[in-house]
Amino acid sequence: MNCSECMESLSPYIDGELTEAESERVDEHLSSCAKCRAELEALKEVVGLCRSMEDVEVPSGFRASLMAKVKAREASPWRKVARRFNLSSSKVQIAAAFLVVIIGITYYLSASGGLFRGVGQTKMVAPAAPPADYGAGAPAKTDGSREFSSADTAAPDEISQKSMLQSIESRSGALEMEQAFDRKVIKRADVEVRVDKEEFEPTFRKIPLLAESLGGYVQESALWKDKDKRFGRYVLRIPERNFAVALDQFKSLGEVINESVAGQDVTQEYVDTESRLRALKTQEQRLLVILGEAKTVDEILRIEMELTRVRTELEMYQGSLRYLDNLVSLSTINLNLRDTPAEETPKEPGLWDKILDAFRKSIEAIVDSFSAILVFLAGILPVVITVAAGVGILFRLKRTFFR
Amino acid sequence: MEKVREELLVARCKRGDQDAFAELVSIYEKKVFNIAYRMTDDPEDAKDLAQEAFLRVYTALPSFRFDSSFSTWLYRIVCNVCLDEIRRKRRKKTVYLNQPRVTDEGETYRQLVDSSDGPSEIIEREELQRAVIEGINALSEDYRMVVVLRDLQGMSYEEIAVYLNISLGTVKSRLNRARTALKQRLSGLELFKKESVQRCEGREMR
Repeated sequence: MNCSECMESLSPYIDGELTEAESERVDEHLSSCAKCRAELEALKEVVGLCRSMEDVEVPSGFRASLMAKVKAREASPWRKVARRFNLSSSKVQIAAAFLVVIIGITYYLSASGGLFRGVGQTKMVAPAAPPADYGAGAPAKTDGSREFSSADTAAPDEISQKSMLQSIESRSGALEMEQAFDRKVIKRADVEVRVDKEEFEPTFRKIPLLAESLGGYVQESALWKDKDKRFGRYVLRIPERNFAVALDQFKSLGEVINESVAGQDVTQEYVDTESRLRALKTQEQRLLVILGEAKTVDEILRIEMELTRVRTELEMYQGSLRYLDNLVSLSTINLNLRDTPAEETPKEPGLWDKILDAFRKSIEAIVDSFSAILVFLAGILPVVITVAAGVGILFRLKRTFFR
Repeated sequence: MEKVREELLVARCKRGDQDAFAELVSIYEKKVFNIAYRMTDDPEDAKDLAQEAFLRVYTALPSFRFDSSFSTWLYRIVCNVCLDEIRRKRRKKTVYLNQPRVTDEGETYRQLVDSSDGPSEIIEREELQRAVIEGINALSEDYRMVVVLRDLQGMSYEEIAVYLNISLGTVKSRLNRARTALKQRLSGLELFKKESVQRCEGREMR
């Protein structure tokens, strides 16, 4: 054994931590090496000095303040859960963090899913939407229904189609004779009726039957509720000859709140269209004759082109005639039902009312902004929690692995 | 018997019995505090560290499954807490012995005791102890730990290996190097005289 080996072994040698063989070899070396002996002595002195150090007393109050800390920690909710499930609270915290992350992800996914559901809902709701702002919506809808009825001619009810065809046929016959007498008037009525609460539902259901019995049909209907008030709305198409009867019938449903009848004379427009139609028909006949006499292909093609143009125009006028006929032969009745009296229009507010109103509006604005903030906070909460949980987990992992 | 009593206490602790924990603390507090004190050389820090170690023990008790004896587990935690804290502190600042120390009377230099005019034996002995402490403090925390556990707390090599989660060979070599370093530091002192050392040695060596 050389000196450096010996030096390596001196410390365990002092402690008696060497095997017998090792120990003997050290003894052997020591007996022949003064330097290592001196080293051993010096080391022994150091060890002796260290061992002479006595333990100090634990400061007073050590245990008391420790137990206070224990109590404080025991009060934490993690501990209670940990105690119940016999886990360390760090495990509970990690589990809770994971749970939160999972909830966050689930929430996030379901939120995006909810987005699509939301779109679907608005689609479903959309038809009922106009009645929601009833006051402003009703007149606008009337315009809309007129536009709509032009498309309606493409696929109307069988009854109306029949009557329409009849009127067109009859017209093509003794047209000039009738012209002077047959005023073309589009009749429209707006009726608002209040019915008793108990009768509202049956009344509402009765109206389509009533319209059908009069040879008409329901073009549009809606039923909605605003708090405890119920509203119904119909756009009814009734044959012109039954217009007056229908109006009386509807007015007798309950208390008439308001009523207006309007007639739009479209005779001029009708006659103009008719004469144009006639001119075009004549032109068509003439073109057909010319076509029969045509010699060259070029001639035939040119005539046919002209014929196509004329026929397109012809159909256009026929269409607008049919449309007018529809409007004239089927009057429109906008029927509004309600089960409560109409609100009184508020009188011009006084100064005091304005002050109160302004005050109330400010309060509402404040409340609104607070709720907006709340909504926002609630909205970002999952994100915050997820991030916090992630950071928490990282921190925990760091502590677990880098002790 | 002692072992059984301890296991009973631990079992009571696991059920949340704080009195049992207080009893466990009373058994180990002296050793735990002294390890922390020798590692930090500051009573306040030592108190905090010892309490932190006990708190960790208390917190982790529900998951303690007697894979080892309670004392082993406790000392492992104590060693971890102390080493962690020292490393954390060292990251913040490094104290060198030749760095001036600011006291109320102004700057003084840390000195390994100068005893040329040593008045009485008691003071001399205290100074010697102080010198040993300074010497131990000058060691890096890993070396300090083995010296504290072995020579101040009288633990076996096997125990130290388990507490520090290192091999027996590492314990041996660390202890050897730590003692050598300590010897070199102390041998430079005039105080480090044969007689005083011999006295200590004679009394303490087991």
